[in-house]
Amino acid sequence: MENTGVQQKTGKRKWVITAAAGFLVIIFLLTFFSNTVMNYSLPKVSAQYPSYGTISTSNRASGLIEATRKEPVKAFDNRVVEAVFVYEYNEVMAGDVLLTLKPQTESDELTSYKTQLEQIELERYYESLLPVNPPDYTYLEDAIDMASDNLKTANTDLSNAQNKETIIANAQTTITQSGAAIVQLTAEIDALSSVIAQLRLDLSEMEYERDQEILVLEQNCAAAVAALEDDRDDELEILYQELAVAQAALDAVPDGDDNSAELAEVNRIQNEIISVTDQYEADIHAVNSACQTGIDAVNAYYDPGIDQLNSDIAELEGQLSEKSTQLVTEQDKLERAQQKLAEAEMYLTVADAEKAVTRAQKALADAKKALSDQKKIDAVEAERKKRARQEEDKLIQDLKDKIKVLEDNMKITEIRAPISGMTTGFSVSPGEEIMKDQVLGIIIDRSGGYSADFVFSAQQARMIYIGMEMSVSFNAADRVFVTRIRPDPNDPRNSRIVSTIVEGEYLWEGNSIEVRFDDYSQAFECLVPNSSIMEDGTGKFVYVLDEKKGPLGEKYTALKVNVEVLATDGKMSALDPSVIQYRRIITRSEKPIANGVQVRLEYFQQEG
Amino acid sequence: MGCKDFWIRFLTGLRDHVLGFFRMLFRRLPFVLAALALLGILLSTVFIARAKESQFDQYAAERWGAETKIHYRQVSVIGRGQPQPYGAPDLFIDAETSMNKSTVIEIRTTLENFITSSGNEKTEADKQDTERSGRIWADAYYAEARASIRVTKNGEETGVGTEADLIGVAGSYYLFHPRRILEGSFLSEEIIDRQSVVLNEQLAWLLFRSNQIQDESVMIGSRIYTVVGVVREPDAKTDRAAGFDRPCAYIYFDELAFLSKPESNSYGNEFESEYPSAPIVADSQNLSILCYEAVLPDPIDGIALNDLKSSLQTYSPSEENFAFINHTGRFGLLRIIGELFPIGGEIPSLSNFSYPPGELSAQMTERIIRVWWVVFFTCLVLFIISLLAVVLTLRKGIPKRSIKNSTSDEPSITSGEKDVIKVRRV
Repeated sequence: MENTGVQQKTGKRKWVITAAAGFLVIIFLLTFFSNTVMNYSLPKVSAQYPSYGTISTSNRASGLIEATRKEPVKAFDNRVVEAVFVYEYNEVMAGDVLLTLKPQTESDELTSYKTQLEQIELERYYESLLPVNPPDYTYLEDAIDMASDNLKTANTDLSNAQNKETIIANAQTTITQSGAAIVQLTAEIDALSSVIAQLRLDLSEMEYERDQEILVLEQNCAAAVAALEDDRDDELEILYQELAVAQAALDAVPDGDDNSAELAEVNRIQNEIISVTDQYEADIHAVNSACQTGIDAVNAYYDPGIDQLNSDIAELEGQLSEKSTQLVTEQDKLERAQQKLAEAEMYLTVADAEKAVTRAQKALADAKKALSDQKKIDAVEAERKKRARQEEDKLIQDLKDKIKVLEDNMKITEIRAPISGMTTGFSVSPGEEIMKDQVLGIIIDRSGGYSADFVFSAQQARMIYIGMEMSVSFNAADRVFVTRIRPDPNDPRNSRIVSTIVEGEYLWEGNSIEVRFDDYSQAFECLVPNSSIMEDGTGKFVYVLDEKKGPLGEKYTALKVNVEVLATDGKMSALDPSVIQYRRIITRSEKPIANGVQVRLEYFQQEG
Repeated sequence: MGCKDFWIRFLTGLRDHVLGFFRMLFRRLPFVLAALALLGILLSTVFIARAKESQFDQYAAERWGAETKIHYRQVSVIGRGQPQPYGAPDLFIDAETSMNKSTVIEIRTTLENFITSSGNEKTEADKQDTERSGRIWADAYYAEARASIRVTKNGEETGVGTEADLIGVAGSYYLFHPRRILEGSFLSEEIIDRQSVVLNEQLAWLLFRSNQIQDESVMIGSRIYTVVGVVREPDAKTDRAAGFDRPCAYIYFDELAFLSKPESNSYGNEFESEYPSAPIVADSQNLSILCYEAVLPDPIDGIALNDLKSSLQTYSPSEENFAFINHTGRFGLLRIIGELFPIGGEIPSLSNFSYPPGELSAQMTERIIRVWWVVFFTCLVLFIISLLAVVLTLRKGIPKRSIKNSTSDEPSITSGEKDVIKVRRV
């Protein structure tokens, strides 16, 4: 009995445990799939309906007022300020003294320029003393000539190399032929020489015989003549003795006396002398004539033979000379042929000769190029020197101008106002050092007017025209009107700089001024906050809230809708109502959402 | 003797319980390890997903190209500028070191040519699909400064003010840095009112004790700005560590130029009450841009980054004078592993750059994700090994627990179970 009770209790316990476990599982499932748990992972969003409203906006821009006419006051040199006579926003007239400067007696810059000028002039002077040598290309031209010669030699060697076999063959042929000719000629010459020698012998014998006969005749003739002369002389001696006696007798005759007989005697003797002389002369002449006749006969006898011999000898000698000449010629030919043969044996191969030609051509080309290059280099150098000279001249002139300016500036001790106007930015104080070209301050000519530049978008600028008057929110400015529109260098495609003239009585340079134009106010059906408009690669869009009711409650989904922004004032934007009317727009989200993502509504807030 | 027996029995019993527990544990160790490894896998997956999800600034390409057929990549380039005193914005040094607005114009022109020439124009069909054709690519740039921000009422300061970070923005900044808007809207790309400012939640509360401050006025430097929105900065742990919890204001980039310190004027102060002070030169060309970022078409992997590098003509790969960042996919497993090398450090030259808070946060997130991936793979390996052990154990069979006589002196688990059974009966 007790066991049955225990078993029943055990069964009930098991049933209770099973029921409790099942209940827990169901509760767990409901909890897990409840909105609270599911929604926890969903992004929170705020949404609202588009509203009807007005967008009031204007095209606005801010800028800074600038004086149209202003002149910077610059330091003309490095000086020390002695006294300052202006303060900020002081009105001055043109020519008023703004600052005085301490006199300057020396200037490092001036000294430096003078030193530099001196150095340049001194260099130039020394340069002028140097000799000027024109460019000498002799060695290059010589090199070209040498290269040409080498090329010719190489070409010759090549030709020789190409014709080596022919040359050798020719030389050998010449040697053979000349050798044979020499042998023959030598023999002929020997033969001729012996004949000539024999003929000469014959000639000399014949001439000896003739001379001997003539000698004999001449000796005979001379003897005969001598005998006649002896006789004559003997007779003449006698006659002369008689004449002397007669003459003496004649002379002995005193003057005035008849001397005819003596004279006749003398005349007779003289006539006898003459006659004897003539007689003997005739005899001698006859003897000589006979002798001569004999000699002529001998000559006539021997001369033909002698002439024949001479003629033969001359002919043979002519032949001999010819043969000798031929022999010499053949010997020369042989020598040359042998020399040629020896040379030809030493000729280069064709390949080597071609290489040598190529080298020689290259050497010639290099030599020509070297000359050409050197000429170019010299021309460039000359041009460079000329340019350097010109620049040096310019530098000298610049230095002189600067020195003059500095010297003039050293005398200046005041800085005056270049124009009339209001001073600003003068921050130097007495004792302060100012540097050359340092801007000491600016003088603004307030009567020159004021201008301001504004940056507008290109779209806005399309509505602006030159002369257009813009509204201004700056009390001191009365009018602002446009003078120029130009692209903004920072963003030329999308931005424009609009230049304006600002008119007003109490304007100051540097004041910020805001202008606007084309104020408009327009009502739109569909206004949404700017925070709801997003952009991606498809363009601008908004997320609309899509609501669906389900068994577990309302389910919200974000749906992307591309929109077109009609107008905006920076806070609200007007959209084309056709795509989103009557639908709630998601204005904010806890984190970025995507199209089709389920979201949960944080709270419903109507903005705007 | 009774007390001593009690203590002996107590300690013996405790020893039996502990030994029994560990025996049970060792027998069931594979199951336990498998469970722990699975838990590790789940946790690391969750933390990795959470860490990735919090970095909204790194998903601009996904946002921009969601509905287009073009694959996009988010890339950026960071430059260096000349630091200025008093929190003034950095100045442009030279083209080899810094970027300015002229650099941006050059980059835009070059990128436009690249994209146009590579045939990424919208097709006619795409254009007809949308009522107004969207841009193919978008960009933005910004610089940072620090300034005193004071509340003004009717042009007069109220005495409430604080120092805050100042970010000068241009282009589609909100695309790249989608902050949660608490009030109003962010600065629009098209400048309606140059003197607009957006405050973050911290700054709004410091100045106004409220987020509903649209149309209020503040003075930054010497200019008055109108509040057009209040945003909440990212508040993940890495974001707070990177500096997002500091008060911050957003203005248009060109307005940063007005923060340059004016030259001292020895007479200016004396006449300031009567005459307006000398103007400050507002030339934004002298400002150095901290970061230029863009979403570009990336039909071939990596071409967008190459295009950006090519468009910055003064970039020298050997000198690494600019830091380029490839945001898209930076939290992917392969990229994370790739960033491990060189082991032990980043490229020294990149440490010369001053990264904006968003990038610092992303780099910290990368490190965290790296650690969780290590945990994931370790747990995965452990899980596989444990699973094998479980299978083997199941094939052998789990030893059944037997109920023994409670009077038995042999310490065993049975004695404990008897007690358990007794408890259950109760």
